[in-house]
Amino acid sequence: MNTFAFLRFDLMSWLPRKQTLLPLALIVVVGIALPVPGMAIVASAVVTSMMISAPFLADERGRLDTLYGVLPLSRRSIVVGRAIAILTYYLLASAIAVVTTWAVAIARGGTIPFEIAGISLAVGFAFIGLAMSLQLPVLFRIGYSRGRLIAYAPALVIAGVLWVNQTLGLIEFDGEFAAPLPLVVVAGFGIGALGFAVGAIIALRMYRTRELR
Amino acid sequence: MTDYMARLDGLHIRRPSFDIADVSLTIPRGTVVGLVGPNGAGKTTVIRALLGLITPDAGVAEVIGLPAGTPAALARTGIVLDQPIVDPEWRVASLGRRIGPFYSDWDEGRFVELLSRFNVQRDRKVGDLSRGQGVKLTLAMALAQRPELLILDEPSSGLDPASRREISDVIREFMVDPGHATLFSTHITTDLDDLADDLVVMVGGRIAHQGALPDVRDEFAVARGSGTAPHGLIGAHTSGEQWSGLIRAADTAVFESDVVIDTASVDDIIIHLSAEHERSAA
Repeated sequence: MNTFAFLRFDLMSWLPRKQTLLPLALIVVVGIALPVPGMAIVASAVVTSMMISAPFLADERGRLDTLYGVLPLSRRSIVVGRAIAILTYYLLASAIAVVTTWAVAIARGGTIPFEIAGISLAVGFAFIGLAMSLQLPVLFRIGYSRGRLIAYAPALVIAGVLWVNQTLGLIEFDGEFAAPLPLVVVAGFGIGALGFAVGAIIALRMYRTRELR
Repeated sequence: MTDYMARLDGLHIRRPSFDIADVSLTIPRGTVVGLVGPNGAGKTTVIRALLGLITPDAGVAEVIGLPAGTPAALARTGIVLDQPIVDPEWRVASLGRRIGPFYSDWDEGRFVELLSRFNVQRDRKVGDLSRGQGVKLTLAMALAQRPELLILDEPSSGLDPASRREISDVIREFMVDPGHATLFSTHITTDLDDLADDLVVMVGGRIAHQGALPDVRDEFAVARGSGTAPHGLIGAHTSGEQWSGLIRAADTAVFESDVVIDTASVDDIIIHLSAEHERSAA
């Protein structure tokens, strides 16, 4: 029950802020401005990955780290509550992206590119999972001030993997997915869910022994 | 039900910037325990240990028979720090909605009543409150939780006498229930005069003295004189020809008649015990 009390508290704390809501508008701009279908959905994942550190910034500005230490809450409730809060933000961002993609497709006299939308959502969620697994433990362990650069880690990891792949020629990609769509979607969501779980588990181990000031 | 509200037993906390050694204290139900000592004595660290914010290297920290820092222990502990630990952008009126759901006994009516009594305007942002109002807001939040144990960490530093009196009055009201207890850490030792039952003096990360407040006062006296300071003074201090130091009240007769013996205030006790600690550490 306390996990949901914290989730509610957390969303009340950082979601209704300009700094949190304005990036959602960026998703709409990307969806309208870029003619490539699915870009709004990709943007929603990138925006969410950059916003994972936002609640930690709010914690430091508001001395909320100390508050969490004296509230009758387990550390687990805080970690799980925050992970769900970030997931909620991602769901909101991806909903905006899907609606934007749909609206732009209609306005341009086309149809919703379901295949691209499905793949984009799955890949986006996998990206968020990777971001969570990298950022959540660091931010819970050392806070925003010392850990904020970790926000760039997921993009750097992906760029690094692509560079290694290109350099060594491990996997050739000719613009077509060789795997069937359902497999790509399941794999994407599976990786994302795994990333969330791994991020939360490691973050809990890190946060449990953190001394709060 | 345990007869004590909180206890530390053989607490050791060693960090690069401080060292707490062998701290043992008990906060019995129905008592106000004053925690005093100079800056850096370890008072805040002891409080952090009681809240579970810091993990001891050795020893036991318990609140209401539960390990310190567990949700069940924290649910029954009200904490008042020297400033609010909520976002400065939040409105005072929103705090019940934000914090209240974490406490099964949260009393919104009591919260509003205390804000009104303290003249803290509910439509203001927390960051716009004066220091004194911020402390009062924190006290109102702590009491609205309906705690059994109240922990105050330097709440009265920088407050005017009227505000300090208001805080003392509220603590007295809280202590009407014999099942309650308060730990009051302060630099302003006069705040403890009519309030504290027990006194714990911390110096250099250790407990230098503890006991019932009247007993602690009776146990010591201040000796003052001029010329060569006699042996046996605790934390002897010299200024020109004048010297002063703490003595055991029982040793008063040992001193010559030209030595002035005064009653020791809590400040005198802290000052001279600190000086003695520094002398022995040098």
